[in-house]
Amino acid sequence: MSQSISSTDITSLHMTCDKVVKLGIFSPAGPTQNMKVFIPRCCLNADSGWLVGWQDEDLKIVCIFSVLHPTSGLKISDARNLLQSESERGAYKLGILGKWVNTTENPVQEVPSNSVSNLLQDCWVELIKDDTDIPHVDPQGNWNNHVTQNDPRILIVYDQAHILKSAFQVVDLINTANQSDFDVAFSALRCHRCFFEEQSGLQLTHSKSANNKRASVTSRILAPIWTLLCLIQLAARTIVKICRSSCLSRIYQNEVFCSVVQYPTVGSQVALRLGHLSTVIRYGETSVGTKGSNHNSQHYRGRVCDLALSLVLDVLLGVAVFLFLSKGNYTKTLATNLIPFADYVASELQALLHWLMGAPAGLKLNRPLDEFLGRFFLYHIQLWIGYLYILRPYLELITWCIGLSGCLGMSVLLALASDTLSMLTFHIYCFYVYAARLYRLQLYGLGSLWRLFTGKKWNPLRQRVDSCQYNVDQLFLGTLLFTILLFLLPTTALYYVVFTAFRMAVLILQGVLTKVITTISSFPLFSVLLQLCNGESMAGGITFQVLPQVEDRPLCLSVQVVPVTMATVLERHSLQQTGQEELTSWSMLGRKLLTGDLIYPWGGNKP
Amino acid sequence: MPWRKVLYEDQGYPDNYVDSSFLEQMQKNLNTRSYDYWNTVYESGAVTDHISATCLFVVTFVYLEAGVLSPKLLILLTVASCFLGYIAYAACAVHLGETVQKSHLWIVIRSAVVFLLFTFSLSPILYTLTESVSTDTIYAMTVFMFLGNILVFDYGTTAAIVSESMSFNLAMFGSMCLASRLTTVLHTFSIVSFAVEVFALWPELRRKVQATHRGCKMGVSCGSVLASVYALWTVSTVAAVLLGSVHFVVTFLCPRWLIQLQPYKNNIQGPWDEVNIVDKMEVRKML
Repeated sequence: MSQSISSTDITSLHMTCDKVVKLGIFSPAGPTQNMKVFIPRCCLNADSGWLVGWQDEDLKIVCIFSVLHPTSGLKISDARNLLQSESERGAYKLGILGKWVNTTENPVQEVPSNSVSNLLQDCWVELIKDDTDIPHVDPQGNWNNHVTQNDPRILIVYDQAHILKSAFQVVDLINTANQSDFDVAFSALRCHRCFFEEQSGLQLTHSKSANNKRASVTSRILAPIWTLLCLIQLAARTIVKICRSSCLSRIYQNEVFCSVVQYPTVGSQVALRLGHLSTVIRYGETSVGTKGSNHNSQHYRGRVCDLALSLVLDVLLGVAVFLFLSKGNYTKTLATNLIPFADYVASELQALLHWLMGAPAGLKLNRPLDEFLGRFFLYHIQLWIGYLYILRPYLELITWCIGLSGCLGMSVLLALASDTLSMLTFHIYCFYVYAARLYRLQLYGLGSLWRLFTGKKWNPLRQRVDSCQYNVDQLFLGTLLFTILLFLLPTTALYYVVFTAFRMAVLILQGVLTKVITTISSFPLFSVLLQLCNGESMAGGITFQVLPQVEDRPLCLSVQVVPVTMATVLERHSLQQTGQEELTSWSMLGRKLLTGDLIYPWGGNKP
Repeated sequence: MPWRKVLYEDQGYPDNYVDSSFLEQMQKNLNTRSYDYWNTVYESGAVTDHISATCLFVVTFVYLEAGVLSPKLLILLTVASCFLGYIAYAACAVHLGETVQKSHLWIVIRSAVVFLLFTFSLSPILYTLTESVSTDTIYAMTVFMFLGNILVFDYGTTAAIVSESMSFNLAMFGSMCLASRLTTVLHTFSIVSFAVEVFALWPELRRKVQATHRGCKMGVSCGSVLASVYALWTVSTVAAVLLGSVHFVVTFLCPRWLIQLQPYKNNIQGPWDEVNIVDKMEVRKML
């Protein structure tokens, strides 16, 4: 029987918690709370000795870190002093918690207990291991104070090396709302890992931190990354200092300025990346000052690494593209080819409008309105051609600038390209807006006039349609307008459909660009590398396994860390802020298209 | 223990059990009215009046499109009949003992100005509106609009189907469809204003006139029937014969039919009916 807890799925977390409560682990705090005894798996086969670890009376946690073996030269007071000096360094108080008796060993070593009587803590645990696999708490054990014989106890066997290795993510996976016992126990363990690794001349049974091949691979990969990060920080800090000293920051605080700058894609993209950079720098500054050893900061460190690496990747890609463009002189080719293409598009549009002004596909259009709309849009195309002529001399510079912006990152380059696309297709946007507004106006007018036609009206107070007695002149006017709008609708709808199709084509292109940009700027490269090189060090969840229970012995659970999968890494470590992406469902898009509401590019939350 | 008609007790009887007193409260044909044949014939005049008016309008359109009737003459006729009609309306009101206020005249004038202004300014749009749509489509649409108008017109009964504004709107839509087939602005303007007169003003005047005297009602009905049949005769003999037979059926056969069908009426009322709310106002006050 096993339950798994995964942080990614909150509902499943709750469900499993419920199940565990039945087993009596997470019973609510109170006098009947179970005493939880954590014991490392490696200690299960250790010889007899003293249990060294940490305990919390309020939380009723006893977390055993290791077994201290009595050696001939060891004075128990020395060990105590050592433990106390270690305790002063961290937040968790270490001590000798009890006695470990291994009855299967041959011959049974007697642990002198009188010498530790002065070390007696509030609670004294005696674990005895006999022929069964699982140790049991000695019923004769000396439980002090309120910890009575009948107190239910749970033994939780954990894998020390695994927990230590998976330092990265265990914290936030067991919920953040109330720090669970596991958090506390494991953070205490992590806090003192150095002490146990150094051993300080004591003979301890304790899992050695596995300096295996994978770990060394990780460190080899991560070391240059850290150096790179330091360099970036150094460079960035100087830039930030310059910015701070000038009045730039004050301008940036201005809301109007912010909204104007962030309106184009490139502005918001640059702002986003600057935010990422400043996070990295701030982390660098704080981490120098205080040695952040708590686990939130560990999680934070992972995020900062992700940010920094994605920035580096972004810039490297951008520079590569820029070099490619400038080496092949592609910017010039692009610029020279763009103008004839735009001219071609304009002439095609003119031909299309002339076709629409005739009787396209035998549709029953209203001739005067059709001609009016056609001339209106033709005039706009004339304006557009003029605009292109003005733009012509600068186009090469613009394409070169786009290439150059690759130095700020691939995402910025793409954002600038997306903005340029918007600028170049401005006429299509204009056409679309005119047609959509006209269509929408007509549709809404028809809707309310239809209600008038059937002798009803919309009641805004009750949000429903009520019947209503109209005057004859109101009815006459309403019907007159209704007739006119109804017969003009096909013409407006035709123009709307045609220009919406154009707009959709541009939007799909921009949508692809936006998707690429968000993918680049939210790709958690560091986490992905970590998962690839050393997947064990990232916990995806924990699993409980109920070990076979023996009569009259406490419940025994085994905790195992489940390694994280790549999909979870991508989902959980994505740098994208939640709520940043505007959710546009297909049905909503369809409804908007039908009613003539304006649609904007995905990802942008423009009004 | 005898069975009682209560739901709050389990009396040990099956759910669908009723005793012999069940049918005691049953009533048959509570709301049946006995009709007098000639009275029914007389009241059916409201329907023939409206059908006649609609036919007259259609004939006017046919004349106007054929060029027999000049739009200027039609406008002149419309304006003149409006004046005469208003005087007749006021006279009838005085005869019925109603006081005609001066403000009423102003309201009428304001409405007239609104009608004329908007009709005149929107006529240029109207007459090119359905240019590209085929004439048959428009005629078919108009026929359905006028049929709908005749169906939901307020003949003085309280049926659910009756909707005064809907019938007027249908008539106006149909006449605007017809107007959009004409060739000049003036034609369009004249037919639309004539439509307003036929479908908005004429029913009002007719009701007023017919309320004054029984003979007046007979006279108006007979006159409009004769006028419509004659007008249609000048356009198409078949249509005139058809209209005449329709008038005959509506006036004489339908009342006969109604009275003959009365014996087949078989309504039962009893305690199983849902509650009949008698007076809406009373209930509203209670609430």
